[in-house]
Parts: sequence; C-alpha cells; structure tokens
Amino acid sequence: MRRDLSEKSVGRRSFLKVAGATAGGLIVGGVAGYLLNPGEKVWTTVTETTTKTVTGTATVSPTAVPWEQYFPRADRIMKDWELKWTGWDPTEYITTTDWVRSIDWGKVKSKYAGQTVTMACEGVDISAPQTFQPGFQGISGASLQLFGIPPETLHEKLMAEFTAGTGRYDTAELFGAWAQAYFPYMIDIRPFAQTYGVDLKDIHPAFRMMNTGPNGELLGVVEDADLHSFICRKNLLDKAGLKIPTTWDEVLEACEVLKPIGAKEGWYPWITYYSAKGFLTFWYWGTIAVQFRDVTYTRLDSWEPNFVGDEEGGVRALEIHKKLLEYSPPGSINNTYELGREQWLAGLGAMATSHQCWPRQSYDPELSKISPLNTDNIIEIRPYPKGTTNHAPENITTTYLGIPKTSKQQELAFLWSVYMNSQESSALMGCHGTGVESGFVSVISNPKVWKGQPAYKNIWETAWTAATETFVYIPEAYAIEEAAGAEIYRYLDGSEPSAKKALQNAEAEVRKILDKAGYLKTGIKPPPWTVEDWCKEHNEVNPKP
Amino acid sequence: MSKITLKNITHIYDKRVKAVDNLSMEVDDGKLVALLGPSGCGKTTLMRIIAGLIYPTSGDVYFDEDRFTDIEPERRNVAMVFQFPVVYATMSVYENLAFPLRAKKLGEEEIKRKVKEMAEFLELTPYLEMKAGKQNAAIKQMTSLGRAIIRDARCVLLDEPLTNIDPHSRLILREKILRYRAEKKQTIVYVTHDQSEALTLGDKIAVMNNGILLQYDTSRNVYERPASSFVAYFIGNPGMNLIECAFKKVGSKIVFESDGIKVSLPYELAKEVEKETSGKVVLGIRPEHIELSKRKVEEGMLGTCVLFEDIGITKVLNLQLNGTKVRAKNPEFEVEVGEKLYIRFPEERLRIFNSKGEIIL
Amino acid sequence: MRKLNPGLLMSIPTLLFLFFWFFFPFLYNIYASMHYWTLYNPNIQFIGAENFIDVLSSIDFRNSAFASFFYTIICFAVELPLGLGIAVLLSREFKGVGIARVIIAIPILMIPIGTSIMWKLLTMPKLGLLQYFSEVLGFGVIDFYGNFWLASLLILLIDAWQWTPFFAIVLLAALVSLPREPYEAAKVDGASPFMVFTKITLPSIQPVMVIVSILRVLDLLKLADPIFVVTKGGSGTETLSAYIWRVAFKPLDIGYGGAVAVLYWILMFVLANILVRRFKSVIQ
Ligand SMILES: Nc1ncnc2c1ncn2[C@@H]1O[C@H](COP(=O)(O)OP(=O)(O)O)[C@@H](O)[C@H]1O
Ligand SMILES: [Mg+2]
Repeated sequence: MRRDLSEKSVGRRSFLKVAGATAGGLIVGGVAGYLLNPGEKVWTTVTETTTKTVTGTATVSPTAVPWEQYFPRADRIMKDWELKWTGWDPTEYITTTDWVRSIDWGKVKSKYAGQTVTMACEGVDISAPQTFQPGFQGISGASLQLFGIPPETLHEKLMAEFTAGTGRYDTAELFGAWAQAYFPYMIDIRPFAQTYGVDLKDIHPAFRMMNTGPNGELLGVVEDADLHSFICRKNLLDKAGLKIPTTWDEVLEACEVLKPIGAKEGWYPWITYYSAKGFLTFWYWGTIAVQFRDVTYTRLDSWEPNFVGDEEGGVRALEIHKKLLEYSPPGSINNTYELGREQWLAGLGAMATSHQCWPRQSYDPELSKISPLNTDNIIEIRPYPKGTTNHAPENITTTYLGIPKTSKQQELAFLWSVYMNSQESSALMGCHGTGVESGFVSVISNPKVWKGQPAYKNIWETAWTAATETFVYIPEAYAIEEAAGAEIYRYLDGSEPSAKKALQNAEAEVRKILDKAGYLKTGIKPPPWTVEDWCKEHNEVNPKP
Repeated sequence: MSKITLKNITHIYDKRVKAVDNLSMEVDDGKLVALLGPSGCGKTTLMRIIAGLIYPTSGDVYFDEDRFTDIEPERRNVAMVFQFPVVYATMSVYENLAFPLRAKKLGEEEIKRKVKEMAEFLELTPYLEMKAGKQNAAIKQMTSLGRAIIRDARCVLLDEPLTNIDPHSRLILREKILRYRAEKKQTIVYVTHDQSEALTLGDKIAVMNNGILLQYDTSRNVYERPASSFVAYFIGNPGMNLIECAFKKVGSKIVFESDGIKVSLPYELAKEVEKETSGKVVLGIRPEHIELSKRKVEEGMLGTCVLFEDIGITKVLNLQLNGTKVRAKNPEFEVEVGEKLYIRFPEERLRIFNSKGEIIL
Repeated sequence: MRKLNPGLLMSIPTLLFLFFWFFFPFLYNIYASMHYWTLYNPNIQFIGAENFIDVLSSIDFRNSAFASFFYTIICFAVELPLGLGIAVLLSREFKGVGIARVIIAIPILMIPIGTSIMWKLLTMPKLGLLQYFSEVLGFGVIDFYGNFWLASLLILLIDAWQWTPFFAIVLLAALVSLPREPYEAAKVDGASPFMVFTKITLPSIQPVMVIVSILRVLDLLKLADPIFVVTKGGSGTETLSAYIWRVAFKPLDIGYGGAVAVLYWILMFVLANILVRRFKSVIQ
C-alpha cells in the first residue's frame, strides 16, 4: 500500500490557494486544518501484512527471499511523477547497500511475531514512520504503535517520560541538538548493530558527532540529517545579469540589484529560513557566523563563549543577518521554518539558505509554484556563501531514533529503527520530498540518488567541512541557544543598536548558564565542534568526495 | 395640565384579542375620571395607549386640541403609575424621584429641592438614600407615585395603584392621591375595579366592559341611572336586582309579571316599554331601595328569607319569591331565616331595561 | 477530651484534595524556585533568591510584563464595549436575530490556536487575503509580523475576534433577562435612549459585566496563543506566559521557571484580589 507522504503539505498548499479566493473557506479551512493535527494520535495497529505486490513486468529481486515484498523500494514509496522525473527503474533498488536486505528476518519473525513495539514521533513527521509501518509489521510479524506528539512539546514530553521512567516508548525521535540531555536515559545501540551486521560507520561523521557519547557510545540511528545549502532561482538572477553569488558580500550585492525588480514583479530578493526570537535567531546567525572562522562558540580550551569573534566575524555575521531581513518579505525577523517555507514555495523569493527540504520540495509540482517541472524556473543548489574563509563550514541538525533504557523491547525497537532508517528507506524518503533526509555516506554520495534529491550532491561535497549548528553538545545547549538567541535578537529588532554589544550580552548570558551548571569549575574540555576536529579526536576518516 | 380626548380608539392584540373597541371619551382639564371595569376589560390597554406605550390599531389620542397619536411616549409628558409597582431597582429612592427631572434636564439645585419636597409629602424621606429595588411593594409604589407627580405632566394615569399593596398602606397612598389632587388640580385618570373607590374619588366615572365604554357620567348618574343592565349590576354592593318580566297593559297601568313578582306602573310613566316587541323587559331595583315589612302591606309581594347576612353597617337579605331570587339591603331590619316578609318595589326607584340591556326607563 | 467537629471531619477530603491539587504544587514551586534545578541535571543545588534576582533583573521579564498589561488593556478596552454593543443590538427583536445570535457564538467554539492560524493565513505577505486587499487599495504589504504596533493590532484582532462574542453572549443573556417594566416607566418619565441605557441598562447588567470582565482580564493576562503564532514572541510582543514558556518550560529549567511562576502567581493573586474586592459590592 502506498501512502502519500506529502498529504499534509499538499493540503496546506491547496489551502493557501483557497485563501486567495474566499475568506469563508478560510475560516472553515482554519478549523479543519487544525482538527487534522490534534495533540496526540494513536494509530491502531495495522494487522494486514501485505505491502504492494509488484505487478506487470517480472519482479527483479537481487536477493530472492520470501520477505522481499517488505523491503523498501522505489515503487512502494514514490509517486508516479517522482518515478518519471528520476528516470529510475522503479522495481530496482537505488542504493548499493542496505542492511534491511541482509538481516535474517526469518529469525526475527520467529522471535518477535505477535509482540508490540511503541514509538514516539514528532507530530509533523508522522507520515515517515507510518509509511514503513506496514512493511515492518509484515517483515517482523510484530506490531508497531505510533504516538504522534506535537513538535513544540516533544522535547519536554520525552524528558518528562524519561525522568519519570514510564517506559511508555520503546523508541523515540530525538532532536540531535539536545541529544546530550537524553544521553543518561538511552542505551548504546552499538551491541545490537554488531549482532545484526548494521554498519553504523556509514552514517556520515557530520551527522554522528552530535549523538556520540564521550566513550564513543551511539545514541541511535540517524533518521533525519539536515545540512544547510544556498538555493536560488537562477532564471531571476540571469534576467538581472547576475552570477550565482558565492560569498556573503556577493549575496548582499545581488539583493540590492534584485530588490527593485522584485518590487515590480511581486517577489523579494531573499527568504529568511528562520529568525524568530530565541534559538532560531541563534541558529540563523550561527549558520552565517561559522563562515567567519574566528568565531568559536566556546574557546576550545576554556568554555569561554566567543560570539563576537577574534576578528569580529560574529559581528559581521549579525550585520549580514539583519541586512538579509531587509531584503526579505516584511515580518521575516520573526519567521519560523513553516512560514519561510510557505514563502519560498509560493515563489516569493529569489534566494535563500535552507536545509535540503526546500530545494527538493521546490521541484514538487503539487507543492511549489516554482517547480522547474511545470514552470520556467531554474533551481540551483550551491554551497553556503563564504565569509572570510575558503571552506564553507556547514551547519548540522539531526534527528535520531533512540531507545530508552526503560524499554522492555530494546532489540525489537532497534530492528524497527534500522528498518525505518535503512539506506534504501532513507534515500527514498529524501527523494520523496518529505523533508526527512538521509545521513548515510553511501546514499548522499550516490549520483543515482541525486536524481531524486538534487541537494544531496552539495551536501556530500561540503559535509566534511561542517561545524555544528548548535552550541557545543552539552545538556544545557537548548537553554544556551535560547538565551543567546534572545540577546542577539535585540540587535535585529533595534532595541540594541550595537551588534557587538548584543553579542557580548549573549556571551555574558551563556557564561552565566555555564557557571550555574558548573562547567567553569570542572576543567573538562569542551567537545569539538567541527567535523574535522571530531574525526581527529575519534580516529576516524573524514569522508571527502 | 391638559384635556384628554380619545377618538374611536380600537386596539386588537395579535390580530385576535380586541382589548379596546371603538372607544371615545373626553377627560376635562383638571378632572379626575375613575375608570371602572372588571379585570381584563381593557383598562390597562387604554392607559398604555394614552401614555403612548401602545400604538392603537385605530383611533386617535388628543391632548387639548393637538393630536398625539404618533408622538413617542417620552415626548408626551404623561405620567403613569403602573399596576405592579415599578421602580428603577439599581437606583436609590432619591434617584428614582429625580429621574423624570433629570430627563427634563433641570438643574441639580432644583431637583434637590423638588425631591426633598416630594419625599416629605409622601413620607419617603427616611428611604431616600436606600436602594429602591430593596424596598417593599408599598414603598415602591409610593416612590412610583412620587415619580409620576413630581413633575408637571399633562396628565397623570394611575393604573390600579392600590391593588397590589397591603391594606394599611393602601389607605395612606389613597390619602396622598386625594391631597395631591386637591392641591394640584391635575387631570387624572384613575383606573380601579373597586367601585367604592371610583364613586368616592371620581368627578366622573367611566365604566368599561369587553373594551367598550358603557357609561361615562357623574357617579350619581351612574348609580341612579345606569346606562345598561351591566352597569346596573356592576355598580353597587350587591348590584342592582335584575328580574326578567313579561308585561301587559291593564287599564291605566302596565303590569310587569314574573314568577312570584308582580309590579304595576302608571301607563303614562311606562308606556315606552310598549316598543319592546318581544313582550319582555328587565326590571331593575337596587337592594337598598327595596321596602320590607313583616306585616301585610298594600301591593306587597310575599317572600321568604333564605339567607341573612349582617355585615356590620348594613344587612343583606336573600329573599325567595317563588322562583325568583331578590336581594335586599337594609341597615336596621332584623329577620330570621325562613321568616315570611312583605316586599315592595317603590315605583320611583324602578328601572326598566330592554332585552339588549339598554335602559328604557 | 474535646469531640471532633463533625463538620470539620466531613470537609477533610475536600481539604486534602485542595492541598494536593493546589497547595502542594504551589509549595513545590516555591521550593523549586530556590534551587538550581534542571530536568536533565541530577544535581539540585540550593541557591536562595538567585533565581528571583535573575528574573527581576531580566529585561525580557519586565518587557513581557509590560506586554501582558498592554494587551490586557487594549484587548479589554476593545472587547467589552464592542461586545456590549453587539449584545445590545442582538437583544432587540428583528428578523433573523435567532440566527445572528448563533453565528456570533461561533468564534468562541473555535480552538484558540486555530483562530490565530486562520488570521495568520489571512495576513501572510503577498499570500493572505487581507494583504491582497491592502495592495489593491494601495497600502502595499503590511508588516503584521515584524512591527510591534501592527503585530499588536493583529494580536488584538485575533483576540477580539475570538473573545468579543464571549462578552456579547454573556451580556446578551443578562440583557434579555432584564424586566421590561422599568423601560416603559422610563419612556413615560421622558428619558432619552441614552439616559435609559446609562441609567437603567448599564447599572442593571453591571454585576454580570464585572464578573465577565474579571474573568476576561485574568485570562488576558495569560495571553499566549496569538503571540506564538504571529511573532513567536518577537518584536516586543512577548507576554508573560510566552516568556515563561520560552525561558523556563522549554529549557526544562524548573528552578527559574518556578521563580517566574511564583512571581506570576503573586501578581495574579494580588490583581484578582484587588478586582474582586473593588467590585465585591457590585457582584453581590
Ligand atoms: N400584550 C398583550 N397581548 C395580548 N393580549 C393582551 C395583552 N395585554 C392584554 N391583553 C388582553 O387584552 C385584554 C385587556 O387586557 P388589559 O388591558 O390588561 O385589561 P385590564 O387592565 O382591564 O385588566 C385581556 O383580554 C388581555 O388578556
Ligand atoms: Mg390592568
């Protein structure tokens, strides 16, 4: 059975079209739209175990096993237009390696048939696990229960469940930025990986570093691996006689040229991915600030926050951030991810920086007004604009599927997490435009996959230079980002006229939190914050193209 | 202070209930008219039409010579006291009394003086600062009266002001109304279903039934020459005896006969009845006008006392004359139940009505 | 030995319930507020009044207190008169008044966050219907999300759209249950419609008005949903509730959150007491 992953997004887009038409429809739609997304959903277990049986031409199956019908495969996930667009043979696997195809599921089934495993999912991404639920239930004989939790409360909810030790969830989606807060409550998945021949080293170090503990223990399998790129509508730049910018100075110059043209044609030079007060401000500024290598979130030897930068690169980044807001639609200072995405896909901007989702969704003719498939738009994906350095360090966010120590189904939970997040399934999710992106080296480096998710090419080429998007990986990361973001925001909204002062205030706030939490006394070194440093510390090879 | 003129007023509620039926009357400037009639006959409706709270289905209201039918109540300058005491519950008694004056935009000093005067007059001074809503019905009605008479309205409409308060307060309130009237010479329509009240207060009495104005005259005339058998029966306590009789001319007399009743009148006096083709009329005599005797009297009819009520100032006898029942009233007469009496209807006291109830004689 | 008062005995379950539902969390909150305590750090340290000092010296706390009062005042100042006006209109008898009374109740039935989202969709630059009209009429794109005054206007619109009917319906119920007689008396007494309204109608519904107003004001002080949707707390629109959520609830800082909550509680308690005391006589 094929499930439409972008159902919700499509619903929202067509809803927007309605918004232009009638206010009455809006009111009804507003209610309906909300009702579609209630607090917590529980899906009843699907007992029928068949996925789509392949019809037509003979099934070509590399490993002829009885449970092949449950393997993730393009024709079982993708939409028709997507299959046509990629030009793949829909009955062939697009990945070279996939651990789902090598696990002995017969043995698994005899052990776990009839048992139940539960999962806590972030509300908006519920379609991802749902897609793989029937397949997993078929291949393991177990049943899977999904609990959707609204994203804005997921973190608190999980922490409350974990600290209370309820054992309610056997596996949970964990946001990498806050991974350190979860560590005490999660198992190390490496032993299970060993047992089932799951190659965890295939996870790119850029997406592994946040979820690795001090002793190398791994929190979970990567489910969503996000990295920023620069995207633009080349056709608009061409028309204005502009080359695709590669530095921030060029970006701002291009904005200045595009501004009057956009004003006439009803679009803006820039779309702000997110900037709203708090951690989003910190992240957006951070993605720019890391292009100026002198900025270190903490001085690596002393925990001393350094947002201003030795050469004041942080100040420069904050000024760029504020300038970009002026080239964005009004109100972008408070943009959240959702609003920025609406604006980009509605064709309100010429350039933006974003994770992989925007580029890929730009192509979707049902989702996007700028799809190259049915308009004359040309979507270009490039490395992040440079600051003062030659390398453009990227900025990472990840989601992991972790297994709490309190789970009574740890092994089954592990099997579900690797089934749902295998190379093939993650590649398909990325190419399906769900916004859930693959973090495996074997996937993002695979040119065949690039046909379905063009952003991966750029990700593969730049991931090795990446730095963390968040503050260093300590449990207080969120509090720190929130506090620092609020201070930085004051420069953006004008209540603090000096960018430098705003950053210094942010440093002071962070110092206070670190002091309270005791870091300044312990003398332990902060963890590394670039992929290069991390690989050195863990004796790993940093995969480069 | 104005003359009130009502011209052919008809009011029909909900297209079904005819509450006032083609009613015309005039209330002269400075007079008190008592509007009398049984419950539900349309008195309140008529008052509300005069006040402007109801727009009549047809007909017109005039004050002096000006037509006011289309004028809003707030611009009529008519004062009204309602049957059920109405006060502005959230205001003090003082503010209640001041309300119509404030509506007239009088100065604060003048208001204060007038309210004080009125409170004094109505003995409301101790209550002035209290919430009107918290007072008993009597104080409320007194307040309501004060509100009506504190300003110089065109006329004052009092819709059964005493009906819903206790008997003691009723006396005080009535006294206040009388004193006010004596001092002010205001045009007043006083609605009541209490006839003694009507007869004692009114310069003129208007008797209504079923929305129709039956008689509008001085109290003496209403009592002595009721315009109809209804009025005859309605006024008086007990009302006039009404006896249906056949009549025939016997020599120079006309003889009226019913079961146990036989009365004759000189032909010259009663010849009007001959126009009555049905051969039947209604004979009327007030109980207090019936002559009683224990000894045989000339032309006396024999009856038996079946009920004797001593109501203090007077006594009421229920008499059976064969098939006819008659009530008599006499302050002195003592009689045992079952005793036989001789009864006489004095000629000059007899009233004769036709079969429609209209007075003939 | 003194015998135990049976009345007291009977109320023990209630008192216990109150204790666990109200006093216990409250005392716990006070305890938390005096400690460095986060959900992810097992070490809880006593730090005395430090959290309180931090909260009170925070610019954001002071700004959000201001914003809370600001929105409470403007929303209340718009919703009460508007609601009263609607109630007065709907208290008259005219054709279709029944349907009008039902329609006016619809916004209350909507989920608050849904209302906010609906308005956000209406005001999205270049995409929302309101923005479309604004451009057609030559006002250009309006910065409803990034400008304090315009964002406040939108927040006011959202709150008023949802909660004006609350005033309207409660006041309407009060109006239609008023006795008719004083109105007739007032007409006869020569009062103008304005005088009737101010001297009779308003005083008569004043107790109801005071009660809904107190409820609404206390509710407005907790305003958060439209803030999250419109600005995420940016551009000076962050209210106390939004602030608590951002700095305490979200980072799982029980101690700091406890301190803010205690201050917030004191504020609400004082305010509620002032209001109730001030209007006690009216309510009774
Ligand atoms: N608002 C009304 N709607 C319909 N019928 C009414 C209304 N008011 C009074 N009536 C009817 O009109 C008639 C006269 O009523 P009313 O004027 O109150 O009489 P009264 O004051 O003499 O007792 C009665 O039959 C009464 O039932
Ligand atoms: Mg009446």
